[in-house]
Amino acid sequence: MRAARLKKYLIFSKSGIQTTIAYRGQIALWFLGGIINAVLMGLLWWAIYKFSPEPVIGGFSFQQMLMYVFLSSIVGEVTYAETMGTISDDVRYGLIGMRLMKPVNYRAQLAFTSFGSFVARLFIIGVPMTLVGTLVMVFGFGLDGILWYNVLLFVPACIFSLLTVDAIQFLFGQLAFRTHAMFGVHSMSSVIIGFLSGAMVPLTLFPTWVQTALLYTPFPTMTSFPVRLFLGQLGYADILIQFGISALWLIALNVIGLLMYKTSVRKVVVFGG
Amino acid sequence: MLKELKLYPKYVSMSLRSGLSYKADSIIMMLSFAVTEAVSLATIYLIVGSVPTLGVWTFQTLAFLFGFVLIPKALDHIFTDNLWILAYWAVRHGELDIYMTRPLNPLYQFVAGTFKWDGIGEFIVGIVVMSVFAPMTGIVWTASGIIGLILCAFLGIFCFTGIKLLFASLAFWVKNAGIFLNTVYNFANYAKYPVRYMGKAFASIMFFVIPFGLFLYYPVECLITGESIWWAVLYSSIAALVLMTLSLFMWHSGIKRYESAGN
Repeated sequence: MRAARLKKYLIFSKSGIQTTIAYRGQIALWFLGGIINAVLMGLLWWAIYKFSPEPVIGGFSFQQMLMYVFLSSIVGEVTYAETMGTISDDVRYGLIGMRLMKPVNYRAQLAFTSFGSFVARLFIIGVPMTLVGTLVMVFGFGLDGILWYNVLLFVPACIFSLLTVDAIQFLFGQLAFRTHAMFGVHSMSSVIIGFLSGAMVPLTLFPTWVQTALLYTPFPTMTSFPVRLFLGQLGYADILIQFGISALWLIALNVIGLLMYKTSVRKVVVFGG
Repeated sequence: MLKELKLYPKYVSMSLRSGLSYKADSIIMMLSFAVTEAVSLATIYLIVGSVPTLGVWTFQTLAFLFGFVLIPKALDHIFTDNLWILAYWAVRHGELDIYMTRPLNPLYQFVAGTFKWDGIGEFIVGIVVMSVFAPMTGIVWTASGIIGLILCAFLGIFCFTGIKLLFASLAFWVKNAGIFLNTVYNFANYAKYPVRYMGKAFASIMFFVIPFGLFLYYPVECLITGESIWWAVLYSSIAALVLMTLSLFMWHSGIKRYESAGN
């Protein structure tokens, strides 16, 4: 019985993979945009390190900072989810009616689709780009401290990142039932998440009290944790604690999301037929 | 020309009224712009705060530059936001048909169709940030400097519009030019950083190829280094002229190729 249910939902993962592969050209273009941004950020950091009296800033050597910028843009690209976009489209175009009629859990459907897309992105972008980037950084720029077990742990860390992105997007997606300004909600949430997760600046540059506070939020899970783990900046204890905090937050976010969803669904108004 | 000017207030009131019917939405949009800019300034603070100075730049001067960049960006945003629709959507969906059948310049109609008053949020943030940091920059304020800076901001609007129209018009050839416009437009964000220290290649691109550095970064740099800002005014005028000419040429040759979509 359980296996049959899982099989039903895995079809959504398969469709997520297929959609991602079908749009691979477009994804590659967006990724190129991400790479351009990473290069420009790298140039900015190059200028900063040139003027810095110290070779290490916020615990990062210049090589580590370059890798951080590059890898965080890859993590962002691989753990990209369309959960919020799908909800707002479904509500706006009235598709939500059809979705609710089917004997399929809407939340699970979205999560499995995101996961499928993640798997495809991991193999199209994540693995090859991380491999090339790491080789270039290690042999071209002299980056050190990369250890094989951290590289392996990077994959589950990315899965946690994706699940958190998906859960938070589902939470913000609930606003689609209440406002039409989803473009604003989307850009605002992605900016705040990007900033607090360390996608814009490493969290180690934040004031200490902010760093401590952020440690207990779900934000670092999305970028800072996987990337710093990869770079070998975290000890065993840190890694275990982070995985624990991430897991607890995942449960909490999903419970809150589902409770909100229950009230949202009552607001659904579908027009047309 | 006169007809266009007379009609513009009507277009504005149309946009305002449709905006007012979704009041909460407009407020969310404004809030979203304000948050985006606040985060962007905080990012500059965190990055630049890790070193004492960056050549001629400090956090205070960079914050002033940040405020200045927002002024032409916001004004362009308020008036020509529809160009994004051109890039992503309008050509692909054949939405320009309606403008071609009316006895008015299609470009004017298309652009006038949207008046994004929520862009005022960005404008206010820009003014506030500039006023807060202006006394801390160590710039010696003269009348000539202030007039020059205002002129540069004014010319900057046309540069922004030119760049947007140029790349949005690519849609006539490639149908969806959104990704191109988006990538190029993103470079504007890097005019907030000390462009000159970010490598010769990048500086040359920002000054001569996608001239965000020329009309956004350079005027403020002139004020800080004590160079005459009128050089910046001259370069901004040239940039505005070249960009507007190029983009209008692109639009006109593009719209000749335009064919409707659908039924």
